[in-house]
Amino acid sequence: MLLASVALALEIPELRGRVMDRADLLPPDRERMLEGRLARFEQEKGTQVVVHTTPSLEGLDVETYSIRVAEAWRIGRKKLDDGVILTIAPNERKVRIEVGYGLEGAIPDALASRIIQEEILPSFRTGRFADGIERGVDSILRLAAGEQLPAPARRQPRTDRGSDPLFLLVYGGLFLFMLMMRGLGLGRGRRRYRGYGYGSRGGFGGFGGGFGGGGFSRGGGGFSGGGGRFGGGGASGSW
Amino acid sequence: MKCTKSMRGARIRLATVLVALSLGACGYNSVIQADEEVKAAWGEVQNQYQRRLDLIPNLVATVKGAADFESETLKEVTEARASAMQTRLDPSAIDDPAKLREIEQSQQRVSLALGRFFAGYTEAYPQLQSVAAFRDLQAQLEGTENRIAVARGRFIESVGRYNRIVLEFPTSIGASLRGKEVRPSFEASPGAEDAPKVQF
Repeated sequence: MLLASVALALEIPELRGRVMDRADLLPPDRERMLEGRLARFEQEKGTQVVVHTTPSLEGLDVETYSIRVAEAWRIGRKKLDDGVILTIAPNERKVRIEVGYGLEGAIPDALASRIIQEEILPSFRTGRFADGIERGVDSILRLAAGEQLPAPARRQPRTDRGSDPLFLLVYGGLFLFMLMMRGLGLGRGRRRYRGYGYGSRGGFGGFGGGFGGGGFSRGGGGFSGGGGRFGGGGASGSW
Repeated sequence: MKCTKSMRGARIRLATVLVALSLGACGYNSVIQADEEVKAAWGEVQNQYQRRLDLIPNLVATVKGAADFESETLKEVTEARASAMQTRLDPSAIDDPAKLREIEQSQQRVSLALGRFFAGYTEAYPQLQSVAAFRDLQAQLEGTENRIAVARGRFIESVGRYNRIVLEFPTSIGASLRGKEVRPSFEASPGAEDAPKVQF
């Protein structure tokens, strides 16, 4: 799969909440309940779980679509990478559970596959999407709760700016300006220099998030991805 | 005008900073970081390749446990694995285009063998569908195929970023100061697409 060129073509929907029901599979009250459930789970455990239904996979297979979105939304806590995204594409009849690096122990591929086969698809086959989604989320949360992860800290605002070219431009320009203004007084300038290149900015900020950058997960509603990374673990199914 | 000691010292400091600044702009540090990212990405590719190779004996044992023979497709999986094990996965492979190609091809053979096996196993082994351990292994192998695909894609991108730094002005200056050259990559060609994904 030509992942690089596809990334340019795919428009990632803006993340607005823990339940992104773009294919309109959930009645409003159940959607609200689900959103509440996932929010409480994040409060208690710190782990982020997102449900995403989409009217189209944009011509991609569900694995490629799912990882593209996961890389942009960055669900899960930074460094802990404890995010899960349940993707449902009713028109292509595909479902996938995308598991972040940090949860691959609690939700190995075999179990993710079982959740899909035993909890989700039986309901989907009779058109009961809300049931299937809820049962799937039940199982996912149960497994994710079993993982020994640190309790949630107070959420830090995302300060990962290492890959933002505008920031570097402004920063660099400011530095040069200061240099000129101060003439020969270079004490502060020298300290600033270490921040000029990529070096000190927790460098890998740009690596996994290259396509989405920071913009997508700062959507409205106060929910945003925690910076978690995904490696392609999980399972898919179809009906 | 008399050149005082403090003025000369200050000029030297200024010159040092300007040189360092130019080097920064010329990719002196960023090429190193990009190079490290390539190595990290390659490490991940190797991990996933190895993980897949490690899973295959389980698969063969499970199949033979359920039905006491080896189909042609299963034999091919075993042979492809043996062949891939001989092409040692190697951190330094990224410096050697021939070695990289060799690794890619042997691993691709494993992908194809697994794909063919899973596409057709119900004919030779109809009973396997009800064996939970087999289904779990199938899920794990599918998961690994996907992880390989993701790792390969990220490796290719990281090499692309690194090569851009090495080739494009002005970062090419810093890159050549560091002795860094263009790196070989995997081909993201249709032939390299992983085996057909088998869904239940």
